[in-house]
Amino acid sequence: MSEPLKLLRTRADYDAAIKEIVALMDAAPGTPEKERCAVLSVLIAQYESHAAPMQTASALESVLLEMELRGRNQADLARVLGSRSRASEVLAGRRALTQAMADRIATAWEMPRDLLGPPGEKKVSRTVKSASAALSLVLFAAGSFGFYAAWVTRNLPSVEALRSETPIETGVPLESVPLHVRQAFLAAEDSDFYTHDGANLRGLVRAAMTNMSKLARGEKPEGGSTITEQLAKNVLLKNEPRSLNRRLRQVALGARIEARFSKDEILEMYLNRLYFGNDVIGLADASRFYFDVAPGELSVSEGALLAAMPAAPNAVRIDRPANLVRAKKRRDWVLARMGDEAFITPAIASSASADILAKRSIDTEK
Amino acid sequence: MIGISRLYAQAEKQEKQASALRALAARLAHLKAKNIEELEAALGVKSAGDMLHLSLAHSGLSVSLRYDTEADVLLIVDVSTTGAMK
Repeated sequence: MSEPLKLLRTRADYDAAIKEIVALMDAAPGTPEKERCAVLSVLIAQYESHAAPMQTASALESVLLEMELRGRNQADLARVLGSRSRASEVLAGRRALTQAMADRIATAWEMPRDLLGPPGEKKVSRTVKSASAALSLVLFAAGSFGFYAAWVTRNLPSVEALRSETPIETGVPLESVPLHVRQAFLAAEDSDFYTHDGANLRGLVRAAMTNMSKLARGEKPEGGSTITEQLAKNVLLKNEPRSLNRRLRQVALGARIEARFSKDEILEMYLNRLYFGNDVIGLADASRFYFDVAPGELSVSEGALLAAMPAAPNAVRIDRPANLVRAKKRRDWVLARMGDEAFITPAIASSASADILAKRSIDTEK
Repeated sequence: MIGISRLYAQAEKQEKQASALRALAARLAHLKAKNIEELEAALGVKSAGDMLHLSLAHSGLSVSLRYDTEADVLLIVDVSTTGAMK
């Protein structure tokens, strides 16, 4: 019967254990001898770990062993590293393995990556760092803006209120509005109305460009709002003061209005809720007030003038003689815009701009 | 994986062989072989039964390993030196 197992304390114990384990390795599987073999291996390893501790192998030592085991040479390493001189310097110990070199060797030679040094942090170029920082900033700004926009656009009024706020009984149905009048408003306020989804990036950029020069001249900036957004502002947000918050709510409501109503319904509600100065609201009343005609009878010149009014109603109302020069200038601008959009020919634009801005029946000036 | 330290202690004064043994110990410690065939593939050598013979000519070492799958023991049973290690 074999001696009981005990800790290996001396070199003699160790040598005896090595001798025994060599003999036991031939034992049949599942026998007590095989189990003794496994326990002995633990005792031997434990003795070795303190009696003859080994230093950790360096990356170069692991590379050299790999080359010996596989019969590789310096040329093989040069192929992996992409440079003969680099391979030569590494093997001579004059150049340490970089992270990238270690990665390449481990991949090409299928070596455990840990043997070639800790993976560590990859070197990142300054350009990549700058781009990452910029991207992080942009994402943070976008996230912050998204959060802010979500907060601002909470509790929006229902777009269903538009119908009750713009009863057609007191206004004019769109089919009774001449095409050139509709086009005058589109040209003046939102020429992309029939193609955008409520918000118009092109219009917003154009307004931003214009505003830069306006602000430089100390003038009031323009909104760049679409007809849909103006409808939201004029009807659903009429009590909210001008602010960035209101602008964002306008955009959000614009999208909801577009989803709920057709373009013609939106344009009809817009025309019937527009403010034309002098307490006049809606195209029907404005036609009668300024020209004493029904909307269906408006001329190109008259339609263009009315289309010029929403942006600055009191500045171009022609019931004030002092406004006539400014009103003619604004009307002619709308006519030019209609020409730009190919809504009217140059001849019609020229003829309309020659029309005198005359009130057909204004009894009193307010 | 046992036995290498003993050889290492003997080879300490021969840096080239000690270096090779350090690398071999590290390599063996990373092995996750389940059988002798996987061990062959990992070390790039052919076995003879349960014995593996590594010839590290550049380091002046010839190492014989014996692998016991059941006990998961990889024993260095012999080392012969060429050149400096005597």
